[in-house]
Amino acid sequence: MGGVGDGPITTAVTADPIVLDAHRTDHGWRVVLAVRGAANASVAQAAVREALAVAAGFDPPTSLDLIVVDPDDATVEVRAVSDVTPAA
Amino acid sequence: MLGAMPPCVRRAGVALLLLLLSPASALAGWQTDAVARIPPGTPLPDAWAYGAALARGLHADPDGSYRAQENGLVASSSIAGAVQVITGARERDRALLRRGLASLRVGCRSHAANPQFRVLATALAVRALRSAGGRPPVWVLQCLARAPAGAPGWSRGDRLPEARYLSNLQWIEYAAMRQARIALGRDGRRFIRPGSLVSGRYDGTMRRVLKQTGVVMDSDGGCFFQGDPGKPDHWAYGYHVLTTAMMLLAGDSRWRCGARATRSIQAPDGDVAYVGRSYEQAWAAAAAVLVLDRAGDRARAARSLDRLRRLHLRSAGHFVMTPTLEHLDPYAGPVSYTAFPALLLLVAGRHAGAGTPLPATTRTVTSPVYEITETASRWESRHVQGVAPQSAGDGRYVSGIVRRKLLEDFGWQDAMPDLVP
Repeated sequence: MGGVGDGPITTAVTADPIVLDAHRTDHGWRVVLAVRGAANASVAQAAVREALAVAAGFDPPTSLDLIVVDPDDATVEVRAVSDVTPAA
Repeated sequence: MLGAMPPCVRRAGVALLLLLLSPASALAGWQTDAVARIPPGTPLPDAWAYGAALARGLHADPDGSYRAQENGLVASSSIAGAVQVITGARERDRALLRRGLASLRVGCRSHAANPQFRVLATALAVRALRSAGGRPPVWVLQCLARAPAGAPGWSRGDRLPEARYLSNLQWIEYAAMRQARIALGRDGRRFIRPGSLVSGRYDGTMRRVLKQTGVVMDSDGGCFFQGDPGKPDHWAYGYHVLTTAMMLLAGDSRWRCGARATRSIQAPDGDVAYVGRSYEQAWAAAAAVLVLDRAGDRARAARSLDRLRRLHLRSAGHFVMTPTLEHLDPYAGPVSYTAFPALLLLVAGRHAGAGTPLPATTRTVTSPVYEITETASRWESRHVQGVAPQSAGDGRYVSGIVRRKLLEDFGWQDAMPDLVP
């Protein structure tokens, strides 16, 4: 009988994303990233977190409209928008 | 008169009459059976394998068009070319890739009646090329970047009430736009023509129009979408599934609710397109494989793939659009209609539809459009919205029990005559 720990262990690894598009809009930046394996929710989330972290470091702060797609699966599209918090 | 004939002549006459009237009449011929053939014995374990086999079964003229099969028309070249490009790129089959690109190019140069199909197919082909590490040719990027919007409802001068129909064509165009934009990526800045479908000019209008997509909720929490391009009271089940698939490809979250209603209407033998326009056409089953797989309902996706294997392939491997010839809408004869299910199956991908089809469960689902009752050995669907059978000229739109299936020793069987004689 199988139990916890049996079977192969797989790790969600984010492959290097390919920047399909990145351009300025009226509200900030719009970026489309192709991430192999993004059909796996954990991979997509990791890619989004990473991109948002990079955007958070922009000076001056800018909002990011991010779309993550999977190059191998046309049905995967994860969108995340980061807003700029106005300076106090 | 028959009585005056010798018995052998009478028997031969009756046999001939039965043959002509039979749904599987060999004399009548299948309108799509010459389009593609999958050699018997080809393993078709999942959606990808089936789509790839269909793609390989398409054979264009030497110039990449399908003119010889379509009386000089070239409208089918894009979808047929796209499925070969997708398969060729993924499976590293260079010969198939070249064949596909030749057809795709013919399609890009043509003026298709419904250009949104061309854009969608071409965008998916470009994405497959990029995914395989290839650089798409400039002409194909220009093809995507310059394509105009074509569906009624959002072009200048179109007023919504006058738009002939909502919404499957609009949904196809919206999905095509979204996919084309991803396919173009950074190349879009170089090639996009102002005012084109992908230019952004139509984005707001599209979203506003598509909010008006007709929908009813069922008792299982499913959203049944109206996609029938006929009349407002027509609810074609196949178009609901197609609309849901296009929502999925457009990144619109409503697809999940649509997938739930697809679950509701699906028979244990995978049947989903048993009411309305495009009655029983293969692409509806392919779309069901796609949306049910992505909804995580793999065993129900397997039902519809199994149906495509059992009923849409003749013994010699010829692919037929409908299991019953008489019900094939005349517009569904072109090669593109055979290529379209292949496209949806390739998008569904490896593993989709694989495994054992879900056995019947016990449930009842009701809605203002349908009432479905399923038990372990009996399944029945009542269409609520249609016209009374006695006043119906078109059996695809009658109300009442439209399908009844019973589990026999050799699987699920239709237990009532087809509504379309």
